[in-house]
Parts: sequence; C-alpha cells; structure tokens
Amino acid sequence: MSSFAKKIKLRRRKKSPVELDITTLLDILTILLVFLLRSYNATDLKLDVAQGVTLPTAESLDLGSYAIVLQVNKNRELFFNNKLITHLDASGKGGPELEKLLATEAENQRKEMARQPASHTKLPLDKDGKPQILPLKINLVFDKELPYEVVGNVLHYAANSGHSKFKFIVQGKGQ
Amino acid sequence: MRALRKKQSIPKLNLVPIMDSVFIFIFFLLLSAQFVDIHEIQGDAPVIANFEDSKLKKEPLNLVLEIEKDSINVKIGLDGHSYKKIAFDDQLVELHKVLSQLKANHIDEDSVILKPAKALPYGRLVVIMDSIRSVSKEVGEISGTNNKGELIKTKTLFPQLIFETVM
Repeated sequence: MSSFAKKIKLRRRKKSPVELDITTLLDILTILLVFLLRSYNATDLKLDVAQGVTLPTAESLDLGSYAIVLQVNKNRELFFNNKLITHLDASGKGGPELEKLLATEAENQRKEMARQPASHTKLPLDKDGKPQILPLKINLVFDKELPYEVVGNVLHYAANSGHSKFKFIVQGKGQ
Repeated sequence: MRALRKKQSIPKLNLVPIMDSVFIFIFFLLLSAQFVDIHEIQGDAPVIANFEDSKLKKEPLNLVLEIEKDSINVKIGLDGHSYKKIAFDDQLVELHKVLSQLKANHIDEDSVILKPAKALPYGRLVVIMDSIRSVSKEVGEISGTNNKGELIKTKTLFPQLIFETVM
C-alpha cells in the first residue's frame, strides 16, 4: 500500500457522522407550538375584519359559527363577505341593492336547505306537518363608534330578508 | 473500573420522528390560527306569535330596556310601565341589581326587549347586551320558584335579546 493510500484510509476512519445539537431548535418549536395552540380557532367561522372596523370588547365566551358576514366600518362602508357593496347614508340606509343582495342570499340558503336530505335538515314541523321556515343566521360586525341608527337599519335589512338570528361579533376581553 | 465507566455512555434518543410530527402539527396550527379572539353575542328580531292559552296564571314580565345615552329605563308588564330609571355607569352595578331582583321573581323568563336610542354608540350597546345575559360574579347565582312551584337556581339573567325597532 502506498503512503498516499494509507493517509486516505486514516482520514476516512477519523470522519465520524456529524451530530447536530437540536436542543435549541426543539425549545423554539415547543414555544411556537404552545403559542399556536392558544390561538387555535376551533370554530368554522373564518373572519377577516374589514379596514376601519374596531370591534367592541365583551366578556361573552360564545364561539362564532359559519354564516354570511355583514361588516360596517366607521365610514359606514358595508361589506358583504369581505366585498365592499355600498356606502350607507348617515341614517344607515343602503338602497335597493343591499335589500336585493340579502334577499337573493336568503333564497339561495333556503334552496340549499331544501336540497339536503330530510334526515340532515331536521326541520321542526308546523301544525300542518310541513317543515317550518327557520330564521337564517347572520354574522354582524360593526365598528364600536357607529350610532345605533346605522346598526338598527342594517338589522332591519337583515331581518326583512329572513336573517333574523343576529350574531354580533365581538372581541374577547383577554386581548 | 475505568473500562466499565467507559462502556456506560449516555443513550441518545432518536428525535427525528417527533420532530417530523411537531413540524406537521405547526403547519396545521398555523393554517387554523386566529389571531383575534372573536366571540359572538346572539340577538333576535321580534317574532309575532299567538298564544292559545289566553288565561295566563301569572302576568308575563315583558321586560323592556329603553337605552338612552346616559340612562336606562327599565319597563315591565303588558302595559309597559316604568319600573326603574338607572343612570348609566361603567360597571352597570345598579342595572345588574334591578335585573337580578326581576329574575328572582320571574325565574322562567329569558327574554328582554331592547330599545336603544338612535344616537347610542354601538360599543356601549354591546356592553349592556353583554352584561344583561348572565349573573355577575359577585352575585354568583339566583334562585326562585318557577310556575310549577319548583325551586330553580340559575346563573343566567336574560340571554334572549330582542331588538324592538328593527321590523
């Protein structure tokens, strides 16, 4: 064996697998995991709060659920499922397009409910044995500075289209 | 002795599988994380219903809160007479006291009709809506007898909020 080959053999023997110290990485991951677990959203409501909306705080612990979302910011701009629809006037009136939009949405929801198999819907029956028309849910996000006049008119539009189960979205007091 | 000590090396844990699962878990949590703590307060539009039993044993409470900018007028009864006018304070202590008394006398009642003033800021309305739904921590729970004469204990005040002026 030549001296060169011997040298190479020696070098190979000395090279043991590199051991990374991952303790610090694991520490960071554990902290991240705890932080993410705390902010885990267990509900099916996905909400992107519109620009110019400051949510009021409350002690309520009721979790939100999926439904259409109406948002009104401090400039009285109305968003329907995160899409700017109209600009409400000082008294909160939004014009015919808002009424039409909510009515169409209610009709679509009722059609969807009717399309589902009877075992899934579980609608209570009225005196004649026909399934009752249940009120529809609506998530409402208002800026905390808005006067009730504006809020009341939006509630009026929602209720007239059949969305009479109001869900006022608030921010938990922990934040 | 020295040879024995050399052989006893610290066993090294294989952390690769747990690292894999933690990474997957982090991605899942990142996607479902909500960084604003969001909750809801439920309310209803008024519903008109006919009572078949016209002879009620006890007159319904028919609790109405007329909310002005600086005061709350508590009205009760079918004629809607004023029960008490309360000045608005941040803690709503007086309102809680009045509502707790009413709840103890009408333990079966769950609903309250809200009549906010047009100029009332929404934030203030939410504070009232939030506080009239459950008994304050200081009081704990309220007990009273229901229509059947049974003793009932409850931690809720009037959780069913109805907005009178929306229809």
